[in-house]
Amino acid sequence: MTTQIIPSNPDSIKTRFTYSFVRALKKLNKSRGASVSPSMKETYRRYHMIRVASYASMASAVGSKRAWSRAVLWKIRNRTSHRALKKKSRIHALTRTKVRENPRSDLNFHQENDLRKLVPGGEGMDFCRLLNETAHYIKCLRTQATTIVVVWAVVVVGVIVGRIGDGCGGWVEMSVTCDK
Amino acid sequence: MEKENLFLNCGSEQFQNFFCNPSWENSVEQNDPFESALSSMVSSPVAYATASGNNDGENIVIRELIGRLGSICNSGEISPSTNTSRYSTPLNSPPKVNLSMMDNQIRRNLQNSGNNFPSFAPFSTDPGFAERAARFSCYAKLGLNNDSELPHRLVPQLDSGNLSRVSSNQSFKFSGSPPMGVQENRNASLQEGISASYRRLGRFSRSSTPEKTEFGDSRENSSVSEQIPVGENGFKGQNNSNSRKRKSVPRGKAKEIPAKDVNVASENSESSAKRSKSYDESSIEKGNTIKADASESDKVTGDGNQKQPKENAKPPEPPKDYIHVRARRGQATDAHSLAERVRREKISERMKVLQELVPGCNKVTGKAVMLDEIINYVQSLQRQVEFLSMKLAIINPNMEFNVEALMSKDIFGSRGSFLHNLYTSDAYPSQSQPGQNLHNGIPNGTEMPFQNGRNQSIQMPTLDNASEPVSQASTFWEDDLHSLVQMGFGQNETQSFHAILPTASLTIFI
Repeated sequence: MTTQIIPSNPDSIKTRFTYSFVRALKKLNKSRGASVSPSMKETYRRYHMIRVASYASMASAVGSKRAWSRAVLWKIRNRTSHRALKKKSRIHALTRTKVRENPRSDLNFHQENDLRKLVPGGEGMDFCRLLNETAHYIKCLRTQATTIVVVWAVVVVGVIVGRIGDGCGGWVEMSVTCDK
Repeated sequence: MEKENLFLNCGSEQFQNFFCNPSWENSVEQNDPFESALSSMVSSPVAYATASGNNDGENIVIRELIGRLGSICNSGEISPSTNTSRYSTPLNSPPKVNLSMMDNQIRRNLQNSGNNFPSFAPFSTDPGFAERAARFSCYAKLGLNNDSELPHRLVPQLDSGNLSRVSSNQSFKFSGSPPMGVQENRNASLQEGISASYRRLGRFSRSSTPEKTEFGDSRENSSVSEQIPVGENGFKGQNNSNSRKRKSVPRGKAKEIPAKDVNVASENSESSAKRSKSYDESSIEKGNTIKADASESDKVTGDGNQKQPKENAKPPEPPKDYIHVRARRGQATDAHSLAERVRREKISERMKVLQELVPGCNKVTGKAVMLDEIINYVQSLQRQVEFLSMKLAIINPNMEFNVEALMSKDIFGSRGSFLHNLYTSDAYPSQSQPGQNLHNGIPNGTEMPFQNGRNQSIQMPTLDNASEPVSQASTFWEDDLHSLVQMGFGQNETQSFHAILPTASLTIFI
C-alpha cells in the first residue's frame, strides 16, 4: 500500500504547498502527545498553529515573486518576536502610502480599502497592482482550500483505519462480507 | 451505486430531451447539418479531386452541397428566434448571410469549371469576396467573439459550442441534484463548486440552526440558480471580451485578412486590407481615442451585445465617427488624460480577469459591485481555509500519523479516486440522516452503518465531542467536500466511481 506515486506536476504550487503543509502537520503532531483529550484551549491553539502553517506553506510555495506572499512571510516571521514593532510599522505604512486621490477612485474608496485589508501586503500598492495581486491571491486561496480538504480527508481515513485496527477485527470481516 | 447510475442516466436522458426541446431544436438542427455539410464539403472535394478529377464528380458534389445549403438556408430563415436569449440573434444572422455568399460562390465556380478545389481556393476567383469576407468576419467576430477565422467555419462550431454549453447547463437544471454527475463543461462545474461552497458558507454563517432537509432543499435550489449564472459566465466572459474587441475592429481587420490570405489570394483582399489600414492609421493619428472610447464604453455599458447590431449595420463607418466625436470634445490629445485612459484600461482589464475568477460575477456591471463581490469572495475563501484548519485541529489529536503513504497515493495519483469515491458516493443522500451518523461515531463501534457499506463510512469523522455546530458544520461541508474534492483531483471520474466503490470500501477495512 505504500506505493509512491510521483505527482503529475512536481513543481506546481499545489504540490509544494501540500508537501510543506503535511510536513508542518507532522511536526505539530509530534510535538504534542498523542491521545491527549483536548481542552478547548488546546484545540484552539492547535487550530491557530495549523492556520498559520497553512498560510506559511502557501506563501513559501508561491515564493517571493508576489507581494502578498512576501507580506505573509514577513508577517509570520515577525509575529512571534516583534509584535509591537509590527504594529508600529503597520501604522507607518498606512500613513506613508497615500491612496491617490483619483476622481475615479473616489467612488470605490471604501471598497479599495477593504480589499487592501484583505489581501496581505495590500497596503502599499496602487489600485492596479492591488487587482493583480488579488487575482493571484484568489487563485492560491482556492488551491489551498482544495488541498486542505484532501489532507483532511486523508487524516480522517487514517483515523478510521486506526480505530478499526484497534479493536474491531471480526466485526470488520463480517461487514465486509455484507458489503459484497 | 444505483443512485449514481440513475443520476447519470437521468442526466443524459434529459440532456437528449433537452435537445429535442422545440425551442432549441431549430437552432441545433440548423447548425449541425451546417457543420456536417461543411465538413463534407471540405472532405469530399478533396476526395473527388484526388480520386477522379473529372468534372462529373465535382458537379455532383457541388450540386449536393448546394442542395444541402439551400435546405439549411430555408430552415435557417424559417427558424424563429424563439430563443429569448440575446445570443440567438447574432447566431442566426451570420450563417444565413454566409450561406448565401457561399452559395453564390459555388454557383459561380460551377461556371468556371475545371478547378479541382482544395478546401476554399475557388473562392479566390471572386472579386468581391474579400470585401464580403471582411464584412462577414466583422459580423462573425462581433457576434460570436472569435477572430481570424473564416466566418462560416467559425460560426457553426461556436454555435454548437455555445449551445452545448447552455443546453448542458439547462440540463443540469432539469436533472436536479447532482450537477456533477453530468459534467459537460469542466469550467462550469469548477466554478459551480466554488460558487456553491462560497454561497453556502455565507448561508451557514448567517443561519444558526439549519435543518438538514432544509439544507438539502436550499442546496438544490442554490445549485439550480447558480448554474445558470455559471453557464452565463462562460458567455458573459466571452461577450465582455467580445465587446472589447470593438476597439480592435479596424486593426483587427488588417490582421485578419492576412490570416485569411491562406485561402484567399486576391488583390481585393489587399485593397480591403488597405482600407482597414487607413482606419488604423487614422485611429493612431487621433491618439488612441478609439481604444479609450471602447474601454469607456465597455465599462459604461458592460454589455456590448446590444450595441453591436447597431455597429454591424455600417462596419466601415463607426471608426470614423468615433474619431470625429472624440476629437471634438478635446479630451483626446491631453497627455494626462491619455495616461489616465491607459490606466483606466489596465484597471478594467484586471477587473475582467477578476470577474472570471470570481464566480457569479457576470451579471454585475460596474466597479463598485464587482469590488464588493471580490471582497466577499476573498473573505469567504479565507474563512473556508480557517474552517478547514479548525477541522484538522479537532481531528488531529486522535491521529497516528501514518499518513505519508496515504498522502502520496491519494493526493497525487489517479488513485485519488479512492478518496474521491468515498465522498462522492454520498454527498446527497447523506443529508437526510447526518445526525445519526455523526453521533454514531466510530468509537461507539456498535452502530457502524454498514447496511450500505460504502456510504456512511466517512460521516463520523470528527466526533467524540461532537458539539452541535461542529456536526452541522461537517454535514454542511459534505457536499462542499464533494465538489471541492472533485476539483482537487480534477479528474472526471464520476463515471467510474460506482465501479470502484466496492473495492474502495474493501480497501479501507482490510
